[in-house]
This record gives sequence, C-alpha cells and structure tokens, in this order.
Amino acid sequence: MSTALPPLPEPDDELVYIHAAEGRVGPMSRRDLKAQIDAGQLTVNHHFWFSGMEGWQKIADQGALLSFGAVPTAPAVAARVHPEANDLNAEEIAAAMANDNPVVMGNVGDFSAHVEPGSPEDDRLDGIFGELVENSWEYYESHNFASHIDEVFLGAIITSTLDSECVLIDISSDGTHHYLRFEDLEDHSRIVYRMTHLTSGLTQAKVLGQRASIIVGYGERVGNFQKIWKALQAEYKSGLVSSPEPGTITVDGDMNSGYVYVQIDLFLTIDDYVGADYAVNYKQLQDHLAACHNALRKYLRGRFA
Amino acid sequence: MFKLLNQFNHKAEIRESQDEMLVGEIVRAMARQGHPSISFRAHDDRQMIRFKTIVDPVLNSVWITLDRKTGTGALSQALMGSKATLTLTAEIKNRMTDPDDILNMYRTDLANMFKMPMMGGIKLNHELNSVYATMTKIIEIKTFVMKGEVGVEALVQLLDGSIDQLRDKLAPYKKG
Repeated sequence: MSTALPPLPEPDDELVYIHAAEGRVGPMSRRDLKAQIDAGQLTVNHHFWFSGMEGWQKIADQGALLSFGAVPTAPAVAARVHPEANDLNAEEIAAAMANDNPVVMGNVGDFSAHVEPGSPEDDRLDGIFGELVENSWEYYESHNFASHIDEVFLGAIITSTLDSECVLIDISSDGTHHYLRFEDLEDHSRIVYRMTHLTSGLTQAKVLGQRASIIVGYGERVGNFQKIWKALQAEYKSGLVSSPEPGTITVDGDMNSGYVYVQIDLFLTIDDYVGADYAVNYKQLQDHLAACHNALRKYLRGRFA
Repeated sequence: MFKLLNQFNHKAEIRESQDEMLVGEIVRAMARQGHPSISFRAHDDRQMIRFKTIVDPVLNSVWITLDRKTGTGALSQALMGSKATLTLTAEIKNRMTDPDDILNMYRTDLANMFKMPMMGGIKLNHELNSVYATMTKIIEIKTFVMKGEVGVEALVQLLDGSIDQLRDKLAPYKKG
C-alpha cells in the first residue's frame, strides 16, 4: 500500500535502500536505482526505503522516485493528460516522467480541468464523447429490435390474415401473451391466435434466435348446442392439457357465440419471418398460416360432420 | 384452450368490433407503406399502435391512436354513426453525438417550439432526443371497414396525407 513520501533525496544522494531477495541493498542514489532497473538487475516490484519513511514501499507505487525533473503540479498535470497513461506499467510511467513525456499517473480523470471551447483538446474530447454515444445507439437499437420483434410479428400475422379476406374482431394483450381473433365475413369461420415471445432479452435472442410459441385456433359456428356439448364432454381433457405436445389438436367451444374451435400449439422462429431490417417474409408466413388453417379446418369438419 | 377463449370479449354483434376491424386495417395499410408495427396497446375503446417508419428519410416512428366515441350500441350508431378520433403522432429522433450541436438545438429550435394543444391543427413537442408532431382527426369508422379495397384505399390516403403533413412540420427539426 502506497503512502505519501517525505521529500525525496536528490537524484545523486546515496540514501536509498532496496529490499531484495538476497537481502538489503544499498544505500544507492535514485539515479543508480533507475540504472539498475533499466539494466534488469532490479525491478519496480522491489521495495525501497530512505530516511524519513515510515516503512518499505514498492517502487512501482511511487513513480516520482525515478523521476529526476521537477515534480509536476496539479494544473500542469491536467494540461498534459495522455490518453494512453492507463495502458502503461509503473516502469514505463516512471521512464516517461523522467523524460518529461506528457504522461502522468493518477491524474487522468481530472474532470475539473477547463478545456477551451473550440480548442483541439475540446474537439478531441467531443470526438470521444461522440463515439461513446454512437456505440450506445447501436446497443440501444439492438435491444429495441429484440424487444419489438414480437410485435412486428404480430402485425405481420394481422396483415397476412386480413389478406385472407378476414377482419380483425378482437385484439388484446396481458403483457405476456398477445391475443388476436379474426372472422371470415363470407363463411363466418373464426381464427384465433395466442402469441408469446419466448426470447425477449437481447442475450437470449442472440443465443437462441427469436422464438415464439403460438396457439392457432380455427372455429366454426355449430347450430346444434347438444352437439357442441357432447363434443366438449368428449374432449374435456383437452382443456386440462397445459402444454400439449406438437401435433396435438385440442377442442374447445364458446357457448355465447355457439362456436367450436380446434387448436394447435406450435413453436416458431420469428427470424424466419422477420429480418434484422424489420422486413417481413409475407409469402412464407401466409403459407405457414394457410397450412395451419387448412389442417384445423379439415379436423374440425371431420369431427363434427 | 379454455383460457385462450376467455381472453376475448365475445362481443354480441359484429358492429361492436368495428374499431378492432379498423385497427387491423390500419396495421395492414401501414405495412403496405413499409411501416411495421412495433407496439400495441389495446383497451376496450382505445387502441394505440406504434409503427417503425423504416423507409422514411425523416421520421423515426408514428403512433396511431383510435379512440371510439360513439356507435358501440345500436341506437347510438343509428343516431350518430360510428365516430372515433384518430390521433397521429409522428416522431423524429436526432441521434446527435456532438455536445455543441445538442446545446445549439436546445437553445434555438426547441426553445421556440409551440407547445399549446390545438384541435384540428398540429401540435409540436419535444422530449430528449425526440421531436413530436401530433394531429387529431374525427373519422367515421364505417367509411373504412367492411368496404373492401375501396375502404382500404381511403384509409391509405388518410394515413399517408396525415403523415405527410406531420413530416413537413418536423423536417426543420431533423438534424444530421
């Protein structure tokens, strides 16, 4: 642990002791100490002491020990902040100080230093600030895309289903699931969707891809209430299946409207439909939705024929 | 499945779903213009959707809010039709990175911005990096829904025309 030093000995005064593996070395001058470090005989990891110090300290912790010019004052240091100072080790810092290079230790973050507006230093700092903001925008946009993509997909489902001559008659969200219901105005069949975004976080999305679970349901009005009731009794277990395996078609009914629905649970990769530039592959989405509707319609009509 | 069906309102008549129909048509109309939806907020009589204006050189996003005022009951619809207010808010986002430019923007453009709401006109406001322009229109929902391509075309014209006006108001504030 470094502590403040008493006044340093003159560079050529032989007053400094070194604690080395073979025992105490010295006394030697600070100039000799630097020469031995440069020659590799000692390192900045050795400890030193001179009269007036409370205890041994590591050379690396006291760069001024190897600096033979005037010790810079705080304002002077602030004016000479070097962007690479943090990358240097103690030896390099000490050497730089000895050669009066514009590198200092411990003063890099002097935020109170006044920089003249419009000066080269002001421009340089503005440039750094701009890079930080620009990089943050990139992160922000990536994060936004990851959190918005489910709603881009939801809009794509709406557009694709409307293009199949249906109208949207219900839309809601509970914060986790999105619900949509459509009606075909010609035959009054209905289509329901529940879409859940499974990878809303940026990290999850990058590792797994954008995934969603979707329930697709197809319903038709059945006039005979008894028929609906019997079907529901027969399929009662469907409603108790919390997470059906893929390919399992379950049945349910809505007594108020007289509709019987069949549904299937699917897992989709949203990336297959929505590109990184928000472009939607409508052809593929419409094909996939049409395949689901066709299968469910056949099943429903087969069951209640 | 029981849970899924319970999520819907099961409105008794198709008339009661006209605002949802219009929301669907708005989503499709905006998609055709290259503006995908990025946020949905649905309430009983108020729907708000945000669109990312990917292909627009000035705008960053557009919010469209449909607020139904009349026509949920048969009597009110017969008397007054299916009136709703359609509020469009366009946003520009200035991705400024130079502190001097940010300071100038606040000192000049934004300090002089008109902030009072104005029915039928365009209201401007700003928040951090964004500047917004908002306009509200009273519309008859039946003009646009269940009218086939004619209704869709009328809706596209309404939305395009409104967004053009908002873009014109915002363009002077776009930086970079």
